[in-house]
Amino acid sequence: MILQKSMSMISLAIAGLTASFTGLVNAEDTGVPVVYVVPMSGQMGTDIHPSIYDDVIEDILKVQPDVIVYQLKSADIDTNFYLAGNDDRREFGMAKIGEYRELVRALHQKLDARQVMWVEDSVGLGSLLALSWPEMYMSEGARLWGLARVSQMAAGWSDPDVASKMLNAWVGMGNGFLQIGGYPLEIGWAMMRPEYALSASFKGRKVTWTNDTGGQWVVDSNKEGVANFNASLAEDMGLSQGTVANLDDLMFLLGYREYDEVESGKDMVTKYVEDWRRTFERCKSWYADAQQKLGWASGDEAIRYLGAAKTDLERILRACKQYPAVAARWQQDYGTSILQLELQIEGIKDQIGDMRRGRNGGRGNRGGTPGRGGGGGRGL
Amino acid sequence: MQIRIVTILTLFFGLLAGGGAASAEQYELTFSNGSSWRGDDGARVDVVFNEQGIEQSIQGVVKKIDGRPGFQIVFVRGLIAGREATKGIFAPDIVTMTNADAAGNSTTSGTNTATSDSKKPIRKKAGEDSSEPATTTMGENGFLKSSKPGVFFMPWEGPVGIEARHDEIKAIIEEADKYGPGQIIVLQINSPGGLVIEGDKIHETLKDVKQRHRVVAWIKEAISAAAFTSLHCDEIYFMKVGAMGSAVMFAGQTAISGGELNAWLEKFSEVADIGGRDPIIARCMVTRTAMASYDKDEDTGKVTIYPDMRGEFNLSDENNVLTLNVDNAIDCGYADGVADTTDELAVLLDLPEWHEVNDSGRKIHERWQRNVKQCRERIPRLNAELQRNPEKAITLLKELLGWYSRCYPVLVYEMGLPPDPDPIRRQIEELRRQRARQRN
Repeated sequence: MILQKSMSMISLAIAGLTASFTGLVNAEDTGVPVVYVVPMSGQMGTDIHPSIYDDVIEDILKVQPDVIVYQLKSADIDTNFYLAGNDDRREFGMAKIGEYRELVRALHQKLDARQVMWVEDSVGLGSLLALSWPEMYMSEGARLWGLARVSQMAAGWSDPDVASKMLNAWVGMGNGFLQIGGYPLEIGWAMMRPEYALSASFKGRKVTWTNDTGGQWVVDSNKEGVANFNASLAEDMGLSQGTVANLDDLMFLLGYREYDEVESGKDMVTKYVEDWRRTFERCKSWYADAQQKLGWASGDEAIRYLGAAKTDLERILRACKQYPAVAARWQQDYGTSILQLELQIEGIKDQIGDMRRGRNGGRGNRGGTPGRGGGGGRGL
Repeated sequence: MQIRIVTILTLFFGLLAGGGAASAEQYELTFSNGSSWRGDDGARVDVVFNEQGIEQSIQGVVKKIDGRPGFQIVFVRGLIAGREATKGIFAPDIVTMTNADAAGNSTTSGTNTATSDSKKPIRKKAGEDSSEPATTTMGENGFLKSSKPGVFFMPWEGPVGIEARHDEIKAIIEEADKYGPGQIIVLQINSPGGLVIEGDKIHETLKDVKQRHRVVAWIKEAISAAAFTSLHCDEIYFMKVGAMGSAVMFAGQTAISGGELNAWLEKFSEVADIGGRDPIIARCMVTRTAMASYDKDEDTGKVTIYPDMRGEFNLSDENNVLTLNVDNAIDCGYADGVADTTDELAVLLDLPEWHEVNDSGRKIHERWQRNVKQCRERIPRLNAELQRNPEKAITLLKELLGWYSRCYPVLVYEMGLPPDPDPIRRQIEELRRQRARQRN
């Protein structure tokens, strides 16, 4: 405990020195620096989706800020045990590691300003993003948790060799994020695999991490759970470069006593999240309407109600095409892809056509059954 | 004679470029209204542009021009809202861009000089021929010859045997062969693995091509069969996010064992060996119980690999199948370097700059990916149409037969249709007979 505190003091002192030194340099050379804050808040795979960050990248290229701050707040749960069961699982981060990897690569490669990760809270796959930048700060009380999700993606294989193949493939892909962030593999293994321990040894400022309990500082000795970091632990171990309360604090630690904040990125992301979520809510309502209308589609009113249901489904289809986040959530919550929606609509169109030509033939409401008509072509 | 003319023209353009006064980069941009601007970094310019529907202007100095043709961003340093700042302006938003003299007076640029190529910024550095466009000529030895050293680049992505196939590797090799032996073929690998049978074909082809070309794997993700493919290559470079390994072969839910496993281990070892890599590490990618650790001489960097855990650095214990990342792949000598961009890769390949001899690799890749996408979208529709319109069955089944020729792997390995389309042919015949009988 004493060691922990003294280390915090030393970290603060070093940060303070760095801050004042860099601050002087910037004040003399370039005047007030411009910071561009990029929010990464909400569900991984929908709220945090490459489609919006493509636009943000374009905006950053126009603005040409001195510093880019990624403000990460993506926690699958709010209780202190992962997958506790009392959070909405539909809001958990989606297992789209390849997509997140492309996002990280794009941000690293297309932008050449100083980039800083600010973790306000991260539980789940968001922690992969957190660890993708070498310069990381955390908010007080922030969590860097939940990478057990990565190894859980490989669950369900009984054969030990196949299970190990899947597990190590996923963990290897997960560790790719830590590698681009400059973090050692040992941290990744401990954060993703419950059976791995983690300890650190210090030699001067150099930290050596090992997956055992033999180091000077044991971070994780529990064989049942993965290593997780809170803000204070992350700072003490040198993962996080400092703990901050707000952007002013962060900028001060980065060495800027004053700064101009560009808010266009915040506005764009906030609007995007509000838009797709509002649209998704509408889709749910349209879907309920469509189901009801399909139920009513019989007798003389059949064509009318089928047509109305088709219109509702077409609205959902348009929303899915406009917002990949809506498509992803539609697939997750309703089990229906864009292609399956299209097939469903085409089925209803055919049904209406048949009815108009007097060929109903007792087919009923086939086109309206959710999820039918796709199926990947099996059974031909 | 043709070669000589090309050489003279190249020299002429080289001289022109060399004769440019500035050492800065020179650009030429053409705007949507047909006007154009030509100048260097550091040129003083007046720019009128549209932003969010409002016409604005800025006078300042060109800092740089970035981006791909049609989407360049012109960075101008000047006064914005009374404060000196750099403004990035998208070229399509520019109405006019004119050179201004030191006193701030504008001189109009030439107009109507646009050709389709002039939208591309010309980036020339005085005295450097390397930024000249490359030319391809026929050499005296009967092979094509590129005027610049370069690579044959092909993305190799998706499940092995479905999206990432042997056929595309073969196609890029055939393209490289037109230029004679000694070409560099770069496969940008991003695959979660796939079919064993595809691996067998790849094995034979890559073993053969290594005799005459330099084959390079540039890894984003090379899992299982993709790791097997990568290990064949003369050089392996990782992107920082890269991962390679986990090549356990399995059927259904069960990993292969016994003689089958031994044969696979032998093959993997052989592949590592022909790629110039230690088989001990490769075997750890194939089975959980194989082990690897290594010592590294601090002075010489020499790596000694052990098939157990006696080395200072652990790679894989008896409980884990190995997947390598950048740090351990490079440290143990399995990867030759890290490159996140083509420019970085060019340095590692010892090329003066990144240059693709032609775009055939990208086209080969795109063509097959497009085909796969079309197939994935069309077959479920075809299935649905078949159920809705049985009267069109003959036409639809004939189309399905066509897809067997166009995109067999998606139909058979992904969608689970029978490998042999013969029953479909017979079904078509039967339907024809039925219809003939009905007519009679």
